[in-house]
Amino acid sequence: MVKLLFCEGDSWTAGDIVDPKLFGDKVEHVLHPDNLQYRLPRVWPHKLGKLLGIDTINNSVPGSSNDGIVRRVLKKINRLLEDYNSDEIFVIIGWTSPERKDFYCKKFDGWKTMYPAQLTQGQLNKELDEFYKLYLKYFWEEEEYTQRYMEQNLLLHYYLKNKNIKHYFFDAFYETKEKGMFHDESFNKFITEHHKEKIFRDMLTDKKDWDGYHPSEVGHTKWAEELYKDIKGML
Amino acid sequence: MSYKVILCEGDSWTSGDMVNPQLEEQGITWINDPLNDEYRLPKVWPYKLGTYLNDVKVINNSEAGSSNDGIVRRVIPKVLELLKENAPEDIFVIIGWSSPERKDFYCDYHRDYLSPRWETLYPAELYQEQPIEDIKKFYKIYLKYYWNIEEFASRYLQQVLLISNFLKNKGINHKFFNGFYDSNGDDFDGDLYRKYYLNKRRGLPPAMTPEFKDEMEDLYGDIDDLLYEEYLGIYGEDYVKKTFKKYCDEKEKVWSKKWVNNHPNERMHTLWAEFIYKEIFEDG
Repeated sequence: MVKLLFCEGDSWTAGDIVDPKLFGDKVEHVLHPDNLQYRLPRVWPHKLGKLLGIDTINNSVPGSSNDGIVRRVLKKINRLLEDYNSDEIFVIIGWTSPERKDFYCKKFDGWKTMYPAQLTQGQLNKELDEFYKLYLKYFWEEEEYTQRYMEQNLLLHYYLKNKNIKHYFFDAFYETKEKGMFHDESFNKFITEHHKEKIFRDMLTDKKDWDGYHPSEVGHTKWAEELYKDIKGML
Repeated sequence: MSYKVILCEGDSWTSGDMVNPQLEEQGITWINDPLNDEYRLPKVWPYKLGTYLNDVKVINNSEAGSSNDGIVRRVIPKVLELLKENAPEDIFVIIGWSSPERKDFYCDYHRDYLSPRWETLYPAELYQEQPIEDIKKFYKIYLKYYWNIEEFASRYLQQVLLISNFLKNKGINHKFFNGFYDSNGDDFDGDLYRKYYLNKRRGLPPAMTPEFKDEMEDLYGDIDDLLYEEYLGIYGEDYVKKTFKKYCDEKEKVWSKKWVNNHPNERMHTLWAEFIYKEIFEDG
């Protein structure tokens, strides 16, 4: 009997919504503790948890890479298993752009996410700026991020499966399939079996669903209802 | 239990670091050159292990110089390929993990003379020949800022979790060992890094300059404790509890009688094959 919905992802799962009374339109305050009570009920994880009638933990981080998602899932699951049985947890992962890549820099307090697709990104000093540019010029390759994305999917799938934890994956906004990223026949089969076919962004068909970058509360409600249809029979 | 196929993966400690002298005379120095297979493969532990087992096909799919990134990339498709023609219970996988510090990047800077391909960075060597100036800069900045135990420990743990869970889920028996890098419960923490520096391993500065000392102050790692416990669980269950290197050091004290080019000689491969046989297969 599932008692807990555990959700991970980037801003499409964390929500890019701030309390206008406290922060106006300054979305950079999205993770401010004072914004928590405003933000969480407005994004799909809590809406879905409400539909399912179970508790929800939304552990996602805006701007996260899939590298970060994997690290947080592996860290959190073991802690959840101290309080829950494995069959009481359901995990949903909203994967982000596979192109985002993390590097660990101790001098600058830990993991930093590189966003190659932005083409420019403020770095902490000149050398790191040069590194970013060189990475883009020589190493930002589909083969790399496709391989990493496949391994991350397989890692979390088999990890959760062997712990007897039910799970469901989707792509938030990155069109992995449409881009024809997966030439690997067996991974295509994996995607068909374990991924939601539709991506979150495909649900946002109306202006009121999103601002062109992130879903609005209306968009989150639509996605929660869509996921509910898939998941209610899996609990 | 009898197996039909044993898949061995790893770096040069599994592939062997031997080139046929006749090929060398012709300028062929690439260890994994197919022309070298006939000379190399019978001299290394996977083939020798096969001689202890009846009717087993041993596939040595390892590559000299490989990173663990490369090992993971090769193991998954190879296992899926083997499963097309073999039942899971007929397959056994042995992985000799390499240094977790090695890191792969996919690049096409060889575009003038080579196809795009995976390149392995060897941070622990501190210097690595690079084809162009830009890549030298990239490598230097990587070493200065991004070569951290947090990164390679995290990556190694994820790779071990991935392959262990993947094989377990497919119903394939397997064993791991570390070729030369100590990453067991006693050693795989921040202290390992410090030890490497203190031992002045491979090309490290001869003197402890003030700058180098400052850098050392910041060497301790921070690995998530529960994830680390999970790794230790896999280590307890899946690993041969001795590195190939440590085994060689225990068996032979004289340097020249065990190593050739810092790699095990054929005699050490023979002894390791016998050890692996006893550890994994002798008692069924």
